[in-house]
Amino acid sequence: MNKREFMKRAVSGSLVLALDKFPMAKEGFSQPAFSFNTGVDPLHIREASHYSETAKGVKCKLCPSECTPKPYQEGNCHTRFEKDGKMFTSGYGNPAIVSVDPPEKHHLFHFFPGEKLFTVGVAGCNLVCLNCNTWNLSQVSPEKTENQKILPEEIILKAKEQGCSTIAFSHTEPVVCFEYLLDTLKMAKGNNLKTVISSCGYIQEKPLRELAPFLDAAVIDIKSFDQAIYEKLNAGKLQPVLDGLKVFLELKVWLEISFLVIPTWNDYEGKMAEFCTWLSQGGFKDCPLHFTRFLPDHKLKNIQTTSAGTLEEFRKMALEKGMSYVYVDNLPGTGSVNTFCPKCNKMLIERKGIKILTNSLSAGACPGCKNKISGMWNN
Amino acid sequence: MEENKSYPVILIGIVVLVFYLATYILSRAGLFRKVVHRKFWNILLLVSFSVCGVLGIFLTFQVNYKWKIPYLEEITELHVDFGISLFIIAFFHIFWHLNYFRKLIRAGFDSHESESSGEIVAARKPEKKYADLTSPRNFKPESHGVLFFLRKKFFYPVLILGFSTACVQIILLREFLSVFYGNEMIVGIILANWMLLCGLGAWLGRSSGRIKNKSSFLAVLHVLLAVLPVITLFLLAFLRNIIFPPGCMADLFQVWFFSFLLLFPFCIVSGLAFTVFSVMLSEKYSSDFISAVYSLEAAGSLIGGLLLNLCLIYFLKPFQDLYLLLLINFLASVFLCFKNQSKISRYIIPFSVLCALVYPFTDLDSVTKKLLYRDQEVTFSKDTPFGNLVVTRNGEQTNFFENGLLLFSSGNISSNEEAVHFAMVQHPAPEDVLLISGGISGMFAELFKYPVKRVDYVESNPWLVETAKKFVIQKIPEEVNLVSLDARMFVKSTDHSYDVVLINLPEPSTTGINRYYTNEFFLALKRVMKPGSILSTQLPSTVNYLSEEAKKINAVLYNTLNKNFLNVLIIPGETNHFLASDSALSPRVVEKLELKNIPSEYVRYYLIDEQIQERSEYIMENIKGYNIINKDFEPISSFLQFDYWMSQFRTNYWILIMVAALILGMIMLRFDSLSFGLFAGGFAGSSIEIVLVFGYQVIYGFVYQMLGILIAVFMAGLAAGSLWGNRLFPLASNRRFAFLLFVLAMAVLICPVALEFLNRGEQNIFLAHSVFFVILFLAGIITGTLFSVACCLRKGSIASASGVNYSADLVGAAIGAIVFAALLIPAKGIWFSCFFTVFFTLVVALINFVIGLKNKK
Repeated sequence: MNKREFMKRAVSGSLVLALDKFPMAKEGFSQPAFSFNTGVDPLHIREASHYSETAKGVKCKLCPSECTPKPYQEGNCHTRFEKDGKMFTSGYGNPAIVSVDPPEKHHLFHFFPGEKLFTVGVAGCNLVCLNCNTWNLSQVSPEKTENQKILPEEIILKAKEQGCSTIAFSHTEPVVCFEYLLDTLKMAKGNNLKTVISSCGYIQEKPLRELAPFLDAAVIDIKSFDQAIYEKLNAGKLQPVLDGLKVFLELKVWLEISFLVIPTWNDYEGKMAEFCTWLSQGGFKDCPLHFTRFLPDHKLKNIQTTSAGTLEEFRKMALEKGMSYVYVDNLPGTGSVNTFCPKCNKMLIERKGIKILTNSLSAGACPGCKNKISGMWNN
Repeated sequence: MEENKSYPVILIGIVVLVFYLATYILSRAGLFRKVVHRKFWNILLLVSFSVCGVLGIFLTFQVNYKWKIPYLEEITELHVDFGISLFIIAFFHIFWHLNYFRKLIRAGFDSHESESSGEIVAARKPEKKYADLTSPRNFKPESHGVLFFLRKKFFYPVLILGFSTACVQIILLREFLSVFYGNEMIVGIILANWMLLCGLGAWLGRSSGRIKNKSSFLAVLHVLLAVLPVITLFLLAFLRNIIFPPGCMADLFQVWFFSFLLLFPFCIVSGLAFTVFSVMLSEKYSSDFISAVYSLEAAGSLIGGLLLNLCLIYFLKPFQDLYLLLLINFLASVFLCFKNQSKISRYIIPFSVLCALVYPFTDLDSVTKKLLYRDQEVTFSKDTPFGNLVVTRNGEQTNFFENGLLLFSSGNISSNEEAVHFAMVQHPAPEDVLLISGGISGMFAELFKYPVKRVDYVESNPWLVETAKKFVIQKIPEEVNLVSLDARMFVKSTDHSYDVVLINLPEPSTTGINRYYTNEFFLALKRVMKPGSILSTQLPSTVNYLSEEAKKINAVLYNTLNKNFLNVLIIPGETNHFLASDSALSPRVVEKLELKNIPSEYVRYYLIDEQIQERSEYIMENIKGYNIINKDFEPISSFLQFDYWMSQFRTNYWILIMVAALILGMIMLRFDSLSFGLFAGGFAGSSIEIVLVFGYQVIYGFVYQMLGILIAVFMAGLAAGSLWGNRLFPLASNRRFAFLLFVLAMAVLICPVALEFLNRGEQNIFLAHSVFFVILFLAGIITGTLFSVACCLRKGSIASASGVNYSADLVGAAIGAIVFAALLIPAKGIWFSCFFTVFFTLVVALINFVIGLKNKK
C-alpha cells in the first residue's frame, strides 16, 4: 500500500467511523427524524385530527402551513408526523412546562383578575420566530425535551388541588398539540373550570371552530401587521391570523390581543396606525390590546430593547384610533397597566407589574358611571 | 418552494460575479491562458444549462403527464437557481462573442467559421516555456543580510505587503466580530478563511513564472491591496442587513460563507503577491529569496501589528486606518511603476491620485455605522482596544453596543433590579460592595437603597465608563470608587474585603470571559470576602425550560461555586442568578424586600416567591449528575456555552465537519513530507501563540497592548528565523528539518509547564514576562527557520516552491487556529491540547526523519 492509498483509506475509514459514532450524523443521512423506537412513551402518541390523505402522502390541515411530511418525518410544528400513510401527534399529555400563574402573566387583564391559572406548555411551534424566548422548546419535538406526564384528567385534578379556577395552555404554542388541548378543554368544561389559550393564532378555520366552543378566553399574539415582516420574522402568514381573530369574535370567545413591539421590525408608526384602525373598525375595539416590550433573545441579540416612549406613543395612538383598553406590558414603572373606564376615565383596576393593587369594579361595571367594562369578571 | 419565499438572485449573482472577476483577473495576469478562463465558464454554462434543462423537462412530465417524481418539489428550486446562474453566465458569453454577433448581423454567416476555427487554432498553439519554471535555484549568502535588504528599495514593497496584510487582518477581524457574534469559533472561522485564502492565493501564484512583467503586475496588485479592504469593509456593513435579517445572529455556516466571499478578493491578492514577489526578487538578484520575502513580510506584519494595536487604534476609525493603508499601497504601486517605466503607470498614477484626493471627503465610517444600526440615531462610535463601542438613541432611550451586541439600554429597570436585589437582600447589612462591570447601566440607584458605605466598581474598559458619563445614563455617586482594571488583577491586589460581590459579566462565551467563572477566580474572590458575605454571578436564563445543553453549563458553574462556598442558590429571572455564600440563602426575595421595605418597580411586582422557589428547586434538582468544575486551564464552561449557543441553530454540523475534513484530507493527499512538515509547523506555531496568549490573560488579565506585543514577539522571531534560516541553505537536509520539528514540539510541551508554574503563587514579574517572550520568540525563530529549510529542500521552480510552501504553512496555521483555540482548549484544557499538538508534530518529524535516512542511503 503506498502513502496515497493509505491516506485515502484512513480518510474514508474515519468518515465511516464518524458517521457511525454520531447520532446526529446518522439522523441527517439515513434515519427518520422520528421513530417509535426512540424512547417516546406510546402514551403520548395519538392519531392526529385534521389531516387528509393525498396522492402525495398525508397533508396536515391544522394550521395554514399545510405540511406534507415525508414518511417518519415531522411537520414544521415538530409535533405531527407521518407513519404508514397516517398522521400522528407526539404531543399528547407530555407538557415540558407546568406552572401556576396569575392571568396578568399571560397578558390577560380582563379575565377574572386575582384568580389563578393552571398553565401547561408542550414543546413545538408552527412558527419560527427569530426572537422566540422559549426557542429551546418551540423549535424541537416533544420527543427531544424533558417532559412531565400529565394526561387531561390529571390536569383537572392538579388544577383543583392547587386552587386554580382556570386551565391555560400557554408558554409554547397550544395549537400544535391540538388533540391534547381539545380533550383537556372538553374535560375542563365538564368540571366547571374555565379555559384559556395564549397562542399566535396560526390555525385553520375548521379546527378553530371545533376548539372555540370549549374556550372561555384567548390571548392572540399578533407578530406584525405586515405580511412581509410576518414571513421574515416568524415564517408565517398574517391573513390566517386576522381571519382567526374574526372567528373568535363571532364565536364569542373573550379575546385579548398582544403585540410585541420589536425595534426595526414592526415598530413603524404607519403600520401600527393601520393595525389599530383595522381593530377598532373590525369590531375589536373592546378587546384589550397589549403592547409588549421586546428584550433581545434567541437570534435577535443584536437589537435594542423597545423604548418606553415608543410603547406609550403606540398606546396613545391606539386609544385615539378608538380602542377602549390599551396596555403596556413588561415595562416596569409604567402606569399603563391600569384599567380605566373608557367613558369617565376613572381608574378601575390599579396594577403594578402583574400584581393587582386595587380593584374597584362593581359587577363588571364602573362604579362611577355604571358603564359596563368588557371582559369576564368575578365581581 | 413556499409561496412567499424569494429566490437568491442577489446571492447567486454576487457569487458568479466574484468568481468570474477572479478568473478574469488571473487570466489577464497571465496565470493561465484566456482560453482556460473561457473553457471554465463554458463548462459552467453547460452544467447550468443541463441542470436547468433536465429539471425543466422533469417538471413538464409532472405537469403534463402527472408523473410522480420523488423529491421533485425540492429540486425545483435548483431549476430556478441554475436558471439564474445560466442567465448571468450567458450574459458574459454574449460579450465574449459580441464581435461574432456584430459580424453575423453585418456580414451574414460566412464569418462564423473563420472566427471559431481561429479560436480553436489559437487554443492549440504550443505553450510558451519559461526558463524559471525549470531552472535550478541559486543561493548567494552575501545577498541575504539585513543591510542588503535595507539598501535595496525593491524590498520595501514587500514590507508594505506584510504591513498592510497585518493591519487589514486586524481591522477586518474586529469589524467582522462587531457584525457577528464574537465567540472563539467565529474568530477561528474568520482567521481560518483568511489563512486558507491567502494560502490559495500563494498556491495560485506557483505559475507566476509565466508573467512577463512582474513589476507591473505587482503594481496592479498593490492598487488592489489599497482598494479592496475599503470595498470589503463597506460591503460588510452594506450587506449585513440585506443578507441577514436585521439584528439577527448568523450561524457558523453563514459566517463561514459570508466571510469567505468577502475576504476572497483581498486574501487571494495578498497571497498571490507573496509568491510573485518571491519570484521577481529571486530573478532580479539571481538568488533564492523565498524565505527572505517570508521574513520581510513577517517584519512588515510585526510593524503593522504594533503600530495599529499600540497607536492607530486609539486615534483613528477603521476607514481612516484604511485610508492610511491605501496611501501606502498606492506609493508602493507608483514606486514599482516608476522603477519599471511600465505603460500601466499611465492608469495607476492618475487613479491613485484621484482616490487619494476623493477619499477624505467621504465619511465612510459614519455611513457604515448608519447602515449597521438601522432606524437608530448613532450618536457616538469609537474603536477601543476592547472592541467597537457604539451609542445609539431611539426616542428617549440610549443604547450601548459593544461589538454589535447590546450591552444595556437606559431605563432597563428589570435587569438592574435583578442584578442588585437578589444578592443584596440576602445580607443583613451590606456596607462594602464589590461590583464587577455593569454599574453604569443604572445599578447604583438600586445599590444605594441599602446602607452601603463603599462600592468598588471595577470596569476593565475605561472608554465604556467615560462614554456613559458623557451620555449621563447615571451619575456615579461619590461613594463609588471607580477602578479601570481587569477584575482578576484587582481582586489579586486589593486589601479591602466585601459584604457582597456582584459580577455582571456576559456569559462565558469565550475563554477570555471564562476566566471570571473559574474555580481559581472564585477562590481569589473568597479571600476578599468577609465571613457570611454573598457572591452573585449569572448565566443565560432557563426560567422557562432547562435544555440538556443548559443543564450542563448551569451544573458546571454550580459545582465550581459549591467547591468554594457552603451554599449555592440559583434564582432564575431574566438571567439565572447564582448566589453563593457560607451563610444561608433564600429564594424568597420578594418577601425579604418587603420586610426590609426596599422600594422596587420590578422584583416586588413582577415576581412571585412561590414560582421562584419552585423553579429554583427544579433547576437545582435537574443539574445533579454533572460533576465537572470549571478551571483556568480547563475552560469547559466556554465550550459548553458554545454548545448552548449552537443549539439555537439546529443545524446538522456533522455533515459540515465531515465535508471540511474531506476537503482537508484531499488537500493533504497532495502533500509531500515537506508540506506535511510545514503544515505541522504552522499548526504548532499557532498553537504556541494561542496557548501563551490565553495563559497570559488568565494570569495577568486582559491587557490589550500586551496581547499585541506578545504576537509581535512571535512575528519578530518568525522574521529572524526565516532570515537566519537562509544561512542554513548549504546544510539543509530532511533530518535537520525533522530536528527543527522536534524542537518545535518541545517548545509546545514547555508551554503548559511554564503556565502552571507561573500561575502558582507570586512570581517575579520580570522573570514571568521573560518566560513568555523567550518561548514566543524561540517558537517564532523555529517556525521561520523551518520555512527557510523547507524552501531549500523543495525541488522545482522558485514560484512553485514559494507557492506550495507558503500555502502549506498557512493551511497549518489556519487549522491550528480553529482546532486549537476553538475546540481543543475549551473542551480539553491546555495539557491535552498541547499533548495533541506535540504528538502530531512528532509523528510528522518522524516521517521526515525516516525520509532523511533514506535519502542519506
